[in-house]
Amino acid sequence: MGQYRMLVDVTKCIGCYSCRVACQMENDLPPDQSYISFCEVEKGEYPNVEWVMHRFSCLHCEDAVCEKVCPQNAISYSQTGAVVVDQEQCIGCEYCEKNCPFGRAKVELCQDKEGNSVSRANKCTLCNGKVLEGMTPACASTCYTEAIVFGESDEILQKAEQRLAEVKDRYPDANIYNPEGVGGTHTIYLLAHKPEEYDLESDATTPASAIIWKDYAQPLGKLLLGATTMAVIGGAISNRLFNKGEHHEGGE
Amino acid sequence: MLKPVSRRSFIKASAATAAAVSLTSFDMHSWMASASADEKAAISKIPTTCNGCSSQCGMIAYTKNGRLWKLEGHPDHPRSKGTLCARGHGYATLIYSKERLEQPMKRMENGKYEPISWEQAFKEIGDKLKEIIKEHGPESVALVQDPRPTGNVYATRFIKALGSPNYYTHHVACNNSRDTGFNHTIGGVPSADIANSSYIMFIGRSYGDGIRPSSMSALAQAKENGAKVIIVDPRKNNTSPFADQWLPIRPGTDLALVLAMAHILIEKDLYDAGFIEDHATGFEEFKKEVKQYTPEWAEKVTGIDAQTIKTIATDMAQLKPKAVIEQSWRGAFGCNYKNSTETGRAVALFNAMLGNIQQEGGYIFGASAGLGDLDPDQFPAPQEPDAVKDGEEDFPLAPRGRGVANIVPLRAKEGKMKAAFYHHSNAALGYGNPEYYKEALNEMDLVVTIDVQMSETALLSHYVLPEPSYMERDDAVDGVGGGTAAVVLRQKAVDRVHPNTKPADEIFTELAKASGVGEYFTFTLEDYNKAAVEPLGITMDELREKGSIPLEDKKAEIGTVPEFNTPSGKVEFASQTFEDAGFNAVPTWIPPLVEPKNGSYRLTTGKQAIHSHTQTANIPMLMQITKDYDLERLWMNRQEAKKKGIQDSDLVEVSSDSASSTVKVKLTDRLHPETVYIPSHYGITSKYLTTAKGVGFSYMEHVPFHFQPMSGCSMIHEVIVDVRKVDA
Amino acid sequence: MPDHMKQRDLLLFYAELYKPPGDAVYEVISHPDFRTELEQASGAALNDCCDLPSLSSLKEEFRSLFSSSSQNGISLIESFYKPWTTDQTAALPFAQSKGMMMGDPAWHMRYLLEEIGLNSSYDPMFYPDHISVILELAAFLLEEQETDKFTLLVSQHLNWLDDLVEAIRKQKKDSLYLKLTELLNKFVNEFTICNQSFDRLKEDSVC
Ligand code: SF4
Ligand code: SF4
Ligand code: SF4
Repeated sequence: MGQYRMLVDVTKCIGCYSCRVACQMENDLPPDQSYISFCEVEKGEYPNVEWVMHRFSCLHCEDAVCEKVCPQNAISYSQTGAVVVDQEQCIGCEYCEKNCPFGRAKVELCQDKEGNSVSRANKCTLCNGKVLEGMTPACASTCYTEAIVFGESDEILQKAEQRLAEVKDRYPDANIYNPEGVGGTHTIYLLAHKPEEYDLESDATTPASAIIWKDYAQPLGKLLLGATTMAVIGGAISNRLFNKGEHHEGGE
Repeated sequence: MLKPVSRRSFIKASAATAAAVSLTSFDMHSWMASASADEKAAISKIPTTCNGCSSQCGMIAYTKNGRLWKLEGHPDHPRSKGTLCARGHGYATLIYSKERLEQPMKRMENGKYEPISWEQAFKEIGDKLKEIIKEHGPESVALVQDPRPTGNVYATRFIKALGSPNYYTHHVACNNSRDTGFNHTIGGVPSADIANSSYIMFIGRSYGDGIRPSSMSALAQAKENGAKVIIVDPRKNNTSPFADQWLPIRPGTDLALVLAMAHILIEKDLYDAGFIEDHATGFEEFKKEVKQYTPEWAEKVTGIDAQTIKTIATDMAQLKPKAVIEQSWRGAFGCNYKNSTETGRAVALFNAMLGNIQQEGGYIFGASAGLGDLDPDQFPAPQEPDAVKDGEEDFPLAPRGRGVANIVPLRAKEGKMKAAFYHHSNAALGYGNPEYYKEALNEMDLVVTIDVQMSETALLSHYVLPEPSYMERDDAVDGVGGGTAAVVLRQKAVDRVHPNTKPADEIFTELAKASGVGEYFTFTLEDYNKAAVEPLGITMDELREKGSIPLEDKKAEIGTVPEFNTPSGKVEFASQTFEDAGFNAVPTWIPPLVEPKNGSYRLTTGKQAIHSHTQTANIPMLMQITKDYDLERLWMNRQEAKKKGIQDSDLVEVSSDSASSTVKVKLTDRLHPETVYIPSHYGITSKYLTTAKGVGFSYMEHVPFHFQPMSGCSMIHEVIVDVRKVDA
Repeated sequence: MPDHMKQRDLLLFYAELYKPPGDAVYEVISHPDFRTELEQASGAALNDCCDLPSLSSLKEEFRSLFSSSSQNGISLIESFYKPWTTDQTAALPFAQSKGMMMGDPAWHMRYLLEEIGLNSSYDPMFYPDHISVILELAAFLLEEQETDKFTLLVSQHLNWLDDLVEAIRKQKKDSLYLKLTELLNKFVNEFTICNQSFDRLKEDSVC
């Protein structure tokens, strides 16, 4: 299977929230949990004002920090390009949440198979199951303005470039947000303004500490101590190494 | 001894044996596991229609063991084309909500509601109705609804059978002004062919806020093809990402803009003279009237500069007939201002001047489905009542079929209207001032509400009759007009949750029997549905299977100008009917009824994509979005707020002559300084609707109870408010 | 009368109690021996309570507590207290929320009633997982001496009485319904098995 990409073209979003609701349906999310968040950007003064609705969800990084820091290996890459959480493996330690440069991984109360409430990492799955069955993600298929489009990786990149050219006139600062620092992403954004306007860093990266953690500390530690103990220790390491507050401002 | 003597047991044990069920199946966990395992086989796919708003998009319900499992847009339905909006997905949760009406209820002496049996409800209502009719005549009875397919068949027949002409719809608070204007000029309301148009102007209407999926995608397509899009709205609405230009017009002055644009076409000789020659009357009179409406004049009235007006009118003329002013819905002139009917006329006539009628990219009168009806020999229809519909004499121009629903409370206060039925209608919060409605409905001898939840109107009723939700019942077959007409069916997708609810067809049939007019209701819903599809050469089985069937032989004819449904059969630039009713034959500038003075604002309102009127406010999934993003806030121009020391998200008091409300404020540069804007979905007061109650306020509380002179509409934007910061 | 028949009558009494009160149920409650009989049959003590209300005030109390026509009406329906479904394939936002009608419990109850051949009467209050229906089915199982099935039923379909007790307590602390529901809860708890699952039942690990 080839790899896929999703393009969110914020210049086409009308803020109708249909994608949010369709996603909640698809993923059985209760009313107060959502993989998609919105932020409105108003630029200029009456009557010369531009309004843009920024619909935001997990970026599915090539080099995903959340995947690296998870002590349980509960986060992995799907063949579609998605970064997915296996909630049965997840223990709710919040490393992913603390370390995601985009504030997308969230630990929330979920139901396990027996219907008990448990804390689990919860984020956009790029509709992995659907895509594996050859279908389009729920949000993309419900968006009637085509602000969300999904397809083969390269085609989507091309589409993004083409749209960028089309909107440059109206939004001179427009850009494609596909940060190199995390190896590129499988959800890319066509932003109307500089990333900072949306509380995004232009140069979001995978912190070196996360790489060390993943590749050295964690496998060793796990062998010796077992997962749960590691989670406790890892919490301390992780918090100290890349504390969210110091590393980057904003988030959502 | 503990066992009560006469048990009213729910379950009857005659031939039962517990041995019939294995111990494994008794265990809910193992049973669930095995029942879910063969789920694939058990999932059924039922095409039906949404009831999240009046678009009633086709959708496909997947169900498992009689319960809802998943929803999708119906690919063949002209309005959903495979997608559903947020409401479409979210509103379905109504089925399993606890806050629904479960059984018939009656208001007791002490004001509390007691459950009663259907037999009792029908009997008491029937008896009371007979008594009222005997004493005051059938004209003292009214029926009001927000029409849905079954109601269109049954409710109209019911009120007619009682001998009363007083049938009304919700359109007084929707698009009756526009329709009045369109009907008397071009004989009806066509739809703009957005996808093929090159120049589109929207006045007040926002596809991005009042969602219909197919309309929004048509607009996206038009943009793709390079169309120019102008939005005329005091608010830079959510369609703006698709607009090239925003004209922040002073609210209530759209008429002046359109008249000035017409002026340009005439002055520069840019209109389609051939079309006018062949298909119009009264153009000379119109020309004379419009002479005074120069762009410079319009600039003073609207705040839009004369040059812009000239350019737009000229550009549109150049691209005609693929240029269009979209027909709008409630938007800016559905029921909003004193001059809204005139705006409707001006818009229709401007399009006629572009010669775009029945042309690609212009205004298209759609084909209708042409449904059949019951055989009158087998099922005799009630006679047309002799009396005229109350309100028709006061508002002779208003669309006759729909009437002016706010006549009902007015006449109730005068002591003339004694009984009213409200079906799928929250008139008391949605049509006119709620205080007025409350006083008026309390005057009546009999008020009956038929609904799915305890609305504000239900709370003013003597009897409340519960319907199953739209997913738990069959409705009457419906025809959808358009480029290609379609026939659609809303059908029962899931098992009924509340066993003691009854669908409207049964309710009206029983009410008719109890009121002594049962002879007109000897048919079943299935009889009607069969008769409806008969002339289409489609069987009910086919329709049940497909849910929505496009009628390929019922297509709008493009290129041929039709005979217009007006007295002259032509486009009427001057209307004798208007003159006879005491108005000007040609559209004339009328200023709005009220004007904000320094420091006060016009209160305007409009839709949000996630709600439908107040009907969806109690759906937790949709209301949560409101709460997450504070969508119930009052919009205010940033500079104006600064003058008053108001900051974003401050609590403010909004006060008018009629009411005072407190709400948080949203500061924005997307709004004309003379207005404050409040979304129209909030301000639920019914304590039975706990998710919605207490969020935001209802603009209707501020709107005085008044009538637009030509169409009888509620003039919902003719209200001035003061806004001041509330100290915390 | 054998114990299980006494318990059956106890359950049938409760089944009546959760329907709008009429003469029959009132006759039982107002009988001088009511408390003794009740405690004997349930093997538990009734918490001290209020005076015996009149039938009309009992009716009013029932209405204000449980009727859907009163605001904040307390639900007597099991689904309301449980996640709507535990089936992971349901693509619905409320799939795992509580407070919805016609959830898994209703679906299972309907299946049981149909399979056993207990015809549900078309009654306005008939919901397959209404507390009275569950109690009537439990009584039927006792009568048939189907102890295992009885245990499963009360363990799985009456394990929400804590919530019900709480809900009533919140609205009316001195309600007769509160005291009686507390007693029912104690009685039911006697039969409840730990893990609520069939496998455990086989292993006989009742707590
Ligand atoms: S469905 Fe499309 S237009 Fe609507 S909010 Fe989502 S991205 Fe925006
Ligand atoms: S891709 Fe799927 S999971 Fe991700 S936001 Fe869209 S609908 Fe939700
Ligand atoms: S527009 Fe949305 S709410 Fe209205 S019918 Fe279509 S899907 Fe339903």
